[in-house]
Amino acid sequence: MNECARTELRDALPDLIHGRLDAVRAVEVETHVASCPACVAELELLRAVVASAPAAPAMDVGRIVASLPTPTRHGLLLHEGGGQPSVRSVLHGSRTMWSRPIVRIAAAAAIVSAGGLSLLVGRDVLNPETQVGQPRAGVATVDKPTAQVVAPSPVVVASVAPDTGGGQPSGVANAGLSLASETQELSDDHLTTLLSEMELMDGMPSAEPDIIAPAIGDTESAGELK
Amino acid sequence: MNPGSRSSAEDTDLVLIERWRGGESRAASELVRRHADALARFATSAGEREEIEELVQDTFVRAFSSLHAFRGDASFRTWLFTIERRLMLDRRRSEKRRQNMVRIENSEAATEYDALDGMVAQETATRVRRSVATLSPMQREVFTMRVEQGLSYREIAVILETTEGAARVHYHNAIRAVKEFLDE
Ligand SMILES: [Zn+2]
Repeated sequence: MNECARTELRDALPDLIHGRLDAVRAVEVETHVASCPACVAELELLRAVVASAPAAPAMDVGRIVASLPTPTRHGLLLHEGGGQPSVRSVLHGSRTMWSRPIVRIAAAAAIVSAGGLSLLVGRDVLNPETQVGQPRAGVATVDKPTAQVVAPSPVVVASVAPDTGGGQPSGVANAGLSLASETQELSDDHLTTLLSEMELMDGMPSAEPDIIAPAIGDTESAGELK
Repeated sequence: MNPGSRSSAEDTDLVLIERWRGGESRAASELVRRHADALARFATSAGEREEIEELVQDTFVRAFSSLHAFRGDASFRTWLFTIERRLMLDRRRSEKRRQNMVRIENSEAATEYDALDGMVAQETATRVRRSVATLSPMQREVFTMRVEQGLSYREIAVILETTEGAARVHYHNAIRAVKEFLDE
């Protein structure tokens, strides 16, 4: 089959099909096609490809919207529909967590042994990369807290494993609250306050995925979908 | 944010995103309405056959969870496609998912043909799908994005993390291969 030599016009054929050309450009391309048998054939082929494409199922917009996190003034996220768990949802769980005896023991150990006040939240809590394929319902519920004391380090790691209902551990399961405090007492209110302050930190990862195209020649990820 | 403002079809994606960032959750509805079908088509075109709405939903959840980081270098839709494609890659890395997926690899093309035979009434359409199925994974991905989704080389380059030039080369190699297949 012959190919059109007017590459810049031939390249616009898919855009013509999808109505992505402005009026002037569309007329220019259509005028060319009218006098170019190769482009007529290619346009016909492209339309056949589009027509043969498998039909996509209809989307339930309402259901999708209901699953989305809710915006807040601070750019923080409140998850009402059970989307990716936020710091706040973990905080909610933490209220339950701290009321459990075993976790209270862990927290007490942290208070006694640690020096300097610092609070770290495991990156997995905030990293969307770890949330792929997570169950969308009930991720903020913390039903099965466990605590693990790491000795002889002064740092206590309390792991919170939520019951996601699907049996599959979520990113929250990897959430580690590392506490190191010289305060004599860390009440639920203190913890709540500290976690609230943590939320004000810019803890979310930077833009993901990175939409900056890498240098020329980097085509490794292209064609990964098989 | 104007308290009396309403998200409307006239607002650009960026305006809606800003409104959402400002606390107007309604803006998300318009953004989802605007892009959900395109994401479904994108996934279908890429070979996904199961749980497409879940995939689209995951894409939006991921996008809105990191929307504060969206810089607007590319369009919102292109950004969504990029996220969705990564989710599809993750899906396919999962052995369980892989078993349920319709694979369009050359080695299993016959299976795809058989399935298509039942779905596609016209012989022409069947042959066209066969020709697309013979492309290399990279060619097929670029070709379907360009032809079936109407994405520009620039958008394809962003999604595939490659260059416009590379995308163009893959497209032209693909369409040449499709023509050769159909001319046989
Ligand atoms: Zn031509």
